[in-house]
Amino acid sequence: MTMHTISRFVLLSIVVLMTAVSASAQSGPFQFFAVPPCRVVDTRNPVSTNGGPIVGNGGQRDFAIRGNCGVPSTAKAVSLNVTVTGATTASFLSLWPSGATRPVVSTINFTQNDPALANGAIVGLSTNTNDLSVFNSGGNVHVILDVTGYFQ
Amino acid sequence: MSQTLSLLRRIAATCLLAALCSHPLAAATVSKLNDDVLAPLRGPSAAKRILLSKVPLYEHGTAAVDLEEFEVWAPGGKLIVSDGKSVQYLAPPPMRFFRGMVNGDAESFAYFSVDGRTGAVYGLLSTRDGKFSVNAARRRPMTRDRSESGDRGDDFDYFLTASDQSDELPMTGKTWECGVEKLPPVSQINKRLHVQADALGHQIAAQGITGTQSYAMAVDIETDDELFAAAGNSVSAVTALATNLTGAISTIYNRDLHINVVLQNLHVYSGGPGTDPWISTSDAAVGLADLGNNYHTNHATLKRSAVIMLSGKATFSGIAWEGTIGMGDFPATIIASDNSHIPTFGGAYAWCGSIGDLQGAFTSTVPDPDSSANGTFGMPPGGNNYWPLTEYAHELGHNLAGHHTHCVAITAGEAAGTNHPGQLFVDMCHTGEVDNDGSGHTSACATGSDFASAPTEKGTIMSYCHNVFVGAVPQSRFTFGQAAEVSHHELDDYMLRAAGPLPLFGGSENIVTAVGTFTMSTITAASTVGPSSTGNTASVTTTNGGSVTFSWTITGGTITSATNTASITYTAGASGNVVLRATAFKNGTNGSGFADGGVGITDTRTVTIVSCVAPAVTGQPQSVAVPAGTGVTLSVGATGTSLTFQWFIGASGVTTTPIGGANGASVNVAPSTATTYWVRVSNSCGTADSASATVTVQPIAAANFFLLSPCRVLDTRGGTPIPANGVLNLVVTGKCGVATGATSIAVNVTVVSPAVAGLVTVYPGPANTVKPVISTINYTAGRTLANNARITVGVDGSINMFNAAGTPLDFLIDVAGYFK
Repeated sequence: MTMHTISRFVLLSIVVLMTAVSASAQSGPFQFFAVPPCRVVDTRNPVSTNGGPIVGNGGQRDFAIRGNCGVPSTAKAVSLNVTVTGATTASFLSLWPSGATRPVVSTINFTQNDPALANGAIVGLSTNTNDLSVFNSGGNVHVILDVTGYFQ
Repeated sequence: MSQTLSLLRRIAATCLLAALCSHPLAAATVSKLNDDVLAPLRGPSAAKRILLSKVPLYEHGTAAVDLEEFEVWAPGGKLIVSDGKSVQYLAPPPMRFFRGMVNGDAESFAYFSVDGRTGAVYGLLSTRDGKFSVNAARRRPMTRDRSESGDRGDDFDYFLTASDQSDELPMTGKTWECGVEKLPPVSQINKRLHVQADALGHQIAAQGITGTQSYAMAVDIETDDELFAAAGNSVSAVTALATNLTGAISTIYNRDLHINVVLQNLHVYSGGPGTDPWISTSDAAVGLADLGNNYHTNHATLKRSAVIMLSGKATFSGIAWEGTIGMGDFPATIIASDNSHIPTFGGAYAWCGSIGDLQGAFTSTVPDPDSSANGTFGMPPGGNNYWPLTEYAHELGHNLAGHHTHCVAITAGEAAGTNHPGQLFVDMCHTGEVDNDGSGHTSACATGSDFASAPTEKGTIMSYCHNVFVGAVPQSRFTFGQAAEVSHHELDDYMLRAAGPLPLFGGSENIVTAVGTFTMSTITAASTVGPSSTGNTASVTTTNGGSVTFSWTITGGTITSATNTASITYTAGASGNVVLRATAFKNGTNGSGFADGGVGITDTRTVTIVSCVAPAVTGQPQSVAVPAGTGVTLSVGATGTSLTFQWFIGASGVTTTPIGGANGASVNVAPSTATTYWVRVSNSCGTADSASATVTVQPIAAANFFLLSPCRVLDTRGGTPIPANGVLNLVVTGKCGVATGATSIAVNVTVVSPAVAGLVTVYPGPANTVKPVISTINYTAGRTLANNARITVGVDGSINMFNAAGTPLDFLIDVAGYFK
């Protein structure tokens, strides 16, 4: 990683994803497009691509971000707020571009004592229809994703 | 009245002694009358005044019955027969009617009718000694050839039936002429059935009678298919029933209340089942609702004092509106026996069921060995059947403001032996009283007797004593008793009082009929007026007016001129409706004998005028720019009364594109391209259009990131926290180095020691942007917590923070950079 890359990607302390991906995953530079904040995923909703069911123990869900909430199909990464609620045990989520090997990252850590907890994140998007993967390490947990912008 | 009635009391006392010396006939005793007993009635030219001197009411003696002729049918009265296909308007039957007293006893009465075609006589006598009926039975075989005899009275035998030997007990101390002037009020006395009086007052439609102190009450009688069937499918039998019932009741009413009940129209339905206009029901309340609705719809202009339904439906009960005589219709609700609520129109309506219940009602027959169909249908031929008479008199009595006499107070001594010693009642026959006033008490008035035990004394027409029997004899009497005094006082409110002495029976009554074709126009007045405006005018005109008297009432304003003229001026109320009611009254040609000239025709009109403030726009909807995909709220400020709103797309005044459902002072819009909006504000006094407001849409633009030195752009501690369930708006551009035109800021947000759990939604400005359903940070009570976020900035450089929690929240925003 170079300083150049850092300045482009606004990599703040929470953005473990980009550092966790190997050096070969680097791409860009990209520009940022701010969108009105918009809820793109809520697993408390009825079963659908971006709705239920709850994410289970060791479970993975692939969500469709591009094409929703003003995120175009050309977007390469998305600025999100990740919220968890209803956790049944202490666990963590990993978010990454779908289709790739699940990286060893934690996007948000939580316990069953948290009624609801959120963290901001910037996550890359694949070119698959369901372009964003979410993995839950343990127990059941509802996942909510609110988009605040995208990169391309 | 005291002189006349004092005299009659003395006579009555004498006759009472006479009666005691001569035992009355036992109940159910039937005697064939000698031909000469009724001969004065049967003569083809009977006199106006008749004395039947040898009526054998006693085992060893006779009574004298003093009779005078009177009219039962009103002049112009019609028998209206509908067979389901056509309607016939027929003249009343050629009957003559007589009424009077037995042995001059003021507590007795006698009623006779003579059929002018056949000579058949029907009679009813009620004395301290009992009730008696006189019936005709056709002789078989006929003693003469009918073509020669003209079917005159010689073809009949006449029988006297004693029905009630236990009636000798007078109501202790309670003759109807007692000196009580005004009875103490009890809670029930002003009770009406479910509704109170029309707030605009009572319209008097009762007709007065000249030359006496009596009133004429014109009734319209309805019947139904069931009664027609019970009467053997005979129009003449139904007619005889309604006529004789009305005649007997008029006799009682005249004696006790000084009211002549006259039959205006009698409706008979002869087409068979299903051809009458009434719904099928076994619930008298449903029937009453049906009657009110039908008359309100079909007979609004029919002049009448009351409408009586004589139904053959087996309801075993009747029902009537109380205190409604002479009133116009009023909207009301009846609670049926199944607790359903039936909308109807109240008024002077009385509904009497089971009138044709021959099985239970007619308990004996005239002993004609040659026929099983004896007597004159429709009046009790014998036995103790007086249900139709009792019911008709009772329900019509309610219309006349007569209350149940177990709810009418009288003296302390009377009430001492009851379960309500603190209350005073005319009689104690409360049995079966229902909870009409919603008090939750089904025996709200007197108690002390029930179906199983006889009252200590008999009850009035307005009691429930007809349900209390000794043997087979119902313990009620054909009198209003002291309740007549109550009714008199209440009648003052409804009926027209005449001057002059008061004979016991009406003298030369002359019913006033229509007074030309007098009508009044609708009220001419502005449909809207200013609030509290003065000098507003309203007027009416009349046709065939002549000497017309006007009166006006107003609600929602004040009349500022005289009210006895065709035109008035008034001041409107501050807001709302102004209701004006004009009444014109034209004297009848025979009204000279009345102190208040109260004979004639009234006509009434009502108009509703809206008092309002014209709408005005005081705050225009504002043009605004928003990020694409963002909703925004447009609002208008307006003044005026009872405003309505409609928002449109387009330039102000162009109404081609209304927004469906956008009918409030504000509207949420989320256009995808620049769009212009406006709103029309309306009320009864006019409209006002707002200026146009344009919502422009900022497209999502590419932005570069600019790194800043970390900087706290918001810290509410010690200042203004985010309100509980409220929004805080903050302009972020120009602060901490965030440049104007920034589309997003990279921040860390922190909630500081929240009191309760909640969440914060941060979304772009301006302040009236519609809040999206998203969360920026979730928090729990007592836990200071941070989150990293990129926050989209509004076109005006501001952000909104909504705190979804019941307590205010301290909030920090630390900016690390911005996108532009």
